[in-house]
Amino acid sequence: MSDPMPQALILTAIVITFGISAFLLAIIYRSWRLVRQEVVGVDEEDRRVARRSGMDADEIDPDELAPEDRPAGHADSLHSDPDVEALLDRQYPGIASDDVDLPATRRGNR
Amino acid sequence: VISVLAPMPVMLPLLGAAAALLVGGRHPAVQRTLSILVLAAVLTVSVVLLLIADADGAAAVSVGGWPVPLGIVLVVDRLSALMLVVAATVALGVLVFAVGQGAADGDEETPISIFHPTFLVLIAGVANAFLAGDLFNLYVGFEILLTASYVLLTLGGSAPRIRAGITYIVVSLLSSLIFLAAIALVYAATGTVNLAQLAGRLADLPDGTQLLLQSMLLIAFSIKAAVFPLSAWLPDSYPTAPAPVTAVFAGLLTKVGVYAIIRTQTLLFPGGAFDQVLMWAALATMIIGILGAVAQTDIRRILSFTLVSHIGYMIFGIALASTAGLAGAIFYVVHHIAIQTTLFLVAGLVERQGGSTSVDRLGGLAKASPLLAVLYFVPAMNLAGIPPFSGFVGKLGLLEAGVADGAWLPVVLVAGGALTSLLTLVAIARVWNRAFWRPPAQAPAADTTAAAAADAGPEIDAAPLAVAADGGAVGTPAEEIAVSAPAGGPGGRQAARRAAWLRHTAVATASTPATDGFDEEGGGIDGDRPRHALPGVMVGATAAMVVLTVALTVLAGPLYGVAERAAEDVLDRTPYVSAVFGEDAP
Repeated sequence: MSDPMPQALILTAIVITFGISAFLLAIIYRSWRLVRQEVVGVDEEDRRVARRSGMDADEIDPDELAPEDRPAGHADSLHSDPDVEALLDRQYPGIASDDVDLPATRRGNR
Repeated sequence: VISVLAPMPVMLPLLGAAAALLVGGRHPAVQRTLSILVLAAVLTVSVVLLLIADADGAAAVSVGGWPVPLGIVLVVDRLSALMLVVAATVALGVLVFAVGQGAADGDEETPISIFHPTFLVLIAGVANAFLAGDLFNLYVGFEILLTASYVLLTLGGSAPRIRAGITYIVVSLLSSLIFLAAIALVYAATGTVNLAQLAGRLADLPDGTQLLLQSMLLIAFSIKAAVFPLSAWLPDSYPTAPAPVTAVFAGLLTKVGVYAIIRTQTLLFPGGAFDQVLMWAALATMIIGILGAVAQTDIRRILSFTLVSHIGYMIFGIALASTAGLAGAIFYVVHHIAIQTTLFLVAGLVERQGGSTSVDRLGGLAKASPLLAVLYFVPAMNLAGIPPFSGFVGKLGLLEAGVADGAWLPVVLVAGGALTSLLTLVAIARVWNRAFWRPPAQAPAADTTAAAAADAGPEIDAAPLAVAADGGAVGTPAEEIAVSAPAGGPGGRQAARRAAWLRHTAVATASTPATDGFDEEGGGIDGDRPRHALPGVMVGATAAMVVLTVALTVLAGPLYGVAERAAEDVLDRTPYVSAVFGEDAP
């Protein structure tokens, strides 16, 4: 004859835990839905931060920057670095340079 | 009499919840009245129980007439009756506040037909945990209140609440699992879960087994009570809930954990094996919690951290394991339930009045609403323990008990407690200085109309067209510019960008969610926007709670007397055991 008390307690605990697990699953599903929801809300904080810098990064025209401020190695730069090219030429003779930048153009003239 | 009254604090809210759920959809007014009446009845029953328990000592009721070690036993002694009274009082105050808020907001944001039944279930769970006479019933009580709290915390299902709710649910589930495992081990070791029977049988176990069981129970309850290493979940999950929910959580839920720790440390394991550990935990809880509060800028987060911090005082009193220490702890629990709930209600009012709970955005509230300033100032000073108030009485009792203990560690904790009190004053004085006292213009990020206009975008003033009052109409002219722009050179590109930005802001402002309570766009410059009067019921409920906290000060003498007698009972253990088993204790 086994003790009936643990069985009663365990059954109660199973019922409680089952209910809470179901609730937790529902919450997780809700969270999953919320994460996938693509709604761009108004973020006041974001706007405050945006106000701090005078200009947006993508408003900057690369052509108006001083040459030394431009990102290196891109089509925006007016010349490739001759020192680096010379060094590469010495160390790897026979291999063509991979500096395939197109000649610089003034994009504003297009 | 007591056999009829003792189950009432659990029965009434449960039946009331069922009735409230039935009438909820169609008759909100009936539902509100019903909930308030039920809680008022619970409060009355609790007061009667306290009077009986204080006069006649502890009493036990076997529910359904099952014999004692088998059936469910509800035990009413001074401690549990006192906790019941405070819990019912606070719950009633919060419910009235919530009714006022629901009436003011038109019940659109939250499904109010769910709120009232869930709230009543929460109170039933709290009452069940206080009255439980065996470990498993205590577990059931915890689960009832936790399940209700999950629903209340995630009310409305918005993203921040769901995020906070998942943390809370997972942590609570973990603590419940530890508790359940501890119950299973206790039953395996002793063959009973009845608290009074355990009090006799646990002492016969080998020391190692006792230590294991005690540590498991303490860990489970410490998670619920938010004792330091296990408290990280609290400040992240409480502040997102609606104001009345946060208030009742802060007041009651952690204190149920503290109550369970009191029972564990006195009734089950009176040997004091973990007193040293608990003292260190209390010290860490106090200091680290209050340092967190000093670092915060949001009123609700500050209050959450002070809540964690002041749990340390109660743990300190329990760890002293002397009558004076326990009496101090019990008095402090009563004081802290009332005060913390009141402060969270005031935070709800501040949010309604000022539109934010961040002290960086608030300012000039003392001038805008002197009544609100008084309502904040009195409980805040009470929390910090400024002399005339009950917070001072409670802290003084605990510190005296600590000095009287004589060992060096309690003295360290006394110093830590005094330091915590001062730092609490710093934290809440910062809130006072910034949110209430300074002129609104000094707020670094005030929510004024000018700030909102500035936030709308850097180029909005240079734009050829002004943003009309209704954002929807702006979309069309902005698009016209966008279409006509690409013709020219660099200037055209900039104009196109500006038009795109304008369209973006126009869409954004048009979809700004309406803030409840007041009109964000209306009003003049420099924060002089018209402030709607606070709803009378909410202010009334908060004011009643403030009066209650002051009344705790006036009634500190009799209350401390009850707390001392409760502490004697709890330390003596025989009143509890003989109440369950009659005079012939096994």
